[in-house]
Amino acid sequence: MHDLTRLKPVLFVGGKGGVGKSTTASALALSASRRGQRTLLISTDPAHNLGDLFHTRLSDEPVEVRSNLSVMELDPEKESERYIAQVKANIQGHVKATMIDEVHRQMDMAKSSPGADEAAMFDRIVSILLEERPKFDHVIFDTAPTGHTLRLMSLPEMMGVWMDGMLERRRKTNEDYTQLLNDGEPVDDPIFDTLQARREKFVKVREILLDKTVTGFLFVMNPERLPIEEARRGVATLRRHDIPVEGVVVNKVIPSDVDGQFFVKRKAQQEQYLAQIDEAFAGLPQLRLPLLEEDISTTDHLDRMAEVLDQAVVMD
Amino acid sequence: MNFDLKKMIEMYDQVLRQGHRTEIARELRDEDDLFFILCYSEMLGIPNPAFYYTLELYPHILERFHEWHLRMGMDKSPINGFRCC
Repeated sequence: MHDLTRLKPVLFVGGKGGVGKSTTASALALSASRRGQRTLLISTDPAHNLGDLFHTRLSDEPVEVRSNLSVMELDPEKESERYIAQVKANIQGHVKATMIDEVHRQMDMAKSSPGADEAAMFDRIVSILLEERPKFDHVIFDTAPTGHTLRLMSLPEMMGVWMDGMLERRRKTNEDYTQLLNDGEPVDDPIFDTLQARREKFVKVREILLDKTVTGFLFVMNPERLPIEEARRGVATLRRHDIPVEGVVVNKVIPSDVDGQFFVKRKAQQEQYLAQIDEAFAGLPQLRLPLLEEDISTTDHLDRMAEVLDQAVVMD
Repeated sequence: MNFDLKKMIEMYDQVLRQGHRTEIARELRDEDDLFFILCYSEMLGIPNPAFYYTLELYPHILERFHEWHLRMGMDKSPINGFRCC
């Protein structure tokens, strides 16, 4: 018997859009906060339903919505702005006056390049993990749909390869210039230091993400074909990257006491999908959450969901 | 007298080095060319996920790019949207 609600300090909740990631992440966060655990819930989903769910104006800094529960919503576009502003500040003073306009123009172009929002978002997630984690017992990310999430998760790996090579090359070049052309005076290279610092940040976060005692990844799905496929791919990809998968949550399971022909039929079809899930995710803890009579739109609903979570039977 | 000898040795040392200085500088430049191809792989159509995290290199590279295309015998920047001169 495995207990999914005894969370890892860092948890990512992934899955196809619309399966109930926000709800699951919020319920998990609530359940942890009710046990007196200081919890931070972060939405990286551009759809931003957490503000609606908690009926609070949220921002990109933690806002306490209940005792022990803080929530923040990250906006990809805003993060991109922030990142580029930071880059501009870093290079200030290292650019010739004649060049500055051109450089800024290129920076602004980079802001709208494909993947820019994602990259900025990841940079922010990295900062949150390093800065906020010491203040909380649990940090839960309600991540965007799977493909996007996985790219974020594997970025440090891809980056590591390229940055190692690049910084190595740069260090070598610096040393050579220093010794041969500057008569031993070190070439001051603040840009090198900046990149080095960023790289170290990514390395630290990688360690957190790959530490099975710290980080877990949950996949949410519904008993339907497409969400199952997406979760299956997600789990496989994570395993390829050695990222620990905590378990799967099957959301919106039709209860057994349904009435009416329509739901009886749906229930029969669902049984087949549930069997498929058992097979596809064998060996992973599995938590089933019922389809509720009402949609989840208030914190009362969430509280109910949290109770369901606390009592849910986790199948290993 | 002692001081003059020191100067003599220094001059001799410089004479010896001179030929190599050009050679070494050229080698370093080649290193830089490679470094910079790495940085600009993005522009050559090789997707580079780290590009975004190395934007700070941009001004450096703009300058080097300028030196590079002159060295390659192109008076003007060969890449549209890359205005270094």
